[in-house]
Amino acid sequence: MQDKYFAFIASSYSITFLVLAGLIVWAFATHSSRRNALARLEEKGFSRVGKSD
Amino acid sequence: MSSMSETAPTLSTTKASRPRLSDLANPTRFLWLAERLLPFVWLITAILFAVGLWMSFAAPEDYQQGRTVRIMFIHVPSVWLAMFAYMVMVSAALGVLVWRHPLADVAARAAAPLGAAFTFLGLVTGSIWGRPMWGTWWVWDARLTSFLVLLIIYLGLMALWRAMEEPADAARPSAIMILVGAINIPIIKFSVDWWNTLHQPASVFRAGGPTMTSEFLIPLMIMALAFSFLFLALHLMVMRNEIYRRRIRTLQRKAARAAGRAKTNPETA
Repeated sequence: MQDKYFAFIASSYSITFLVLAGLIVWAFATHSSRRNALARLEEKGFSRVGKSD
Repeated sequence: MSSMSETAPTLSTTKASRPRLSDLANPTRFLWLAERLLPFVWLITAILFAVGLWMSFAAPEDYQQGRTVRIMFIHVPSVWLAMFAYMVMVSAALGVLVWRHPLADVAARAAAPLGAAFTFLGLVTGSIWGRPMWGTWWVWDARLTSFLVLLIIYLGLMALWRAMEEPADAARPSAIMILVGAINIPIIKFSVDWWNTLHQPASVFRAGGPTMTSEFLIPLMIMALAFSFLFLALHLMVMRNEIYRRRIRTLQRKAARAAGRAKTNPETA
């Protein structure tokens, strides 16, 4: 009788998984690209005046 | 990579040699601390999700909701985190306006996309649960509508930040907008008490204790803890990314100025 609810439960968990996994991938990918961009700029000799800002 | 492998920044101390909380206002110290905290936070998140998901699917069927009660184990934490993320933004907005805390604007900006994602999940999972239980995907009742307004507020704030290129210019207007939008949080919380809604009243945080049995309450609380640790991990990561973005922006400006000088006066370049 309860099998008719399977699609509702599966879709809820799937959407949640996709959204949360998307957030995690986005955060890691952004971190990686910004770290590389910052390193490239620093290699070119540009650095911040105050390291505490 | 000089700034990437920074050594432990020195924290100024009180007479009792205790580090002050305000010392963490320094972005470099924050980055150092985040770098060390994140592996533990991710590990705890993974363990909590493994245990929480196992308990969610091992939980018995509800006598009214049947197996759809399992949707509650992701819907309720999403809703809590959506509102918690906004309260983080409210605290950060106060930090911007009152104390001009260097990391406060960064914290507010980092919490917005996470809050929007949890709000979206709360709306979608609630709608999916509502179809078999209420017989409809959506009703314009006070709880659902005020929660939709929360998503619109999040999207509006993110649009404001994108529209204003200079972070310093966007900080104060966005902080004011966050504080104005905070009126929606008690409306969401008490909407089920103030108006006659299809949405059920509070069943966990209420006077007289939770109405649900431990078979459902324990997996729910573990999933809520898992969602909270995930929020913490993501918030630290997105804050770190925002600090990097601002540093890249500063260095790009320096690079552009140096290139401009080289163009106008090649000898001094």
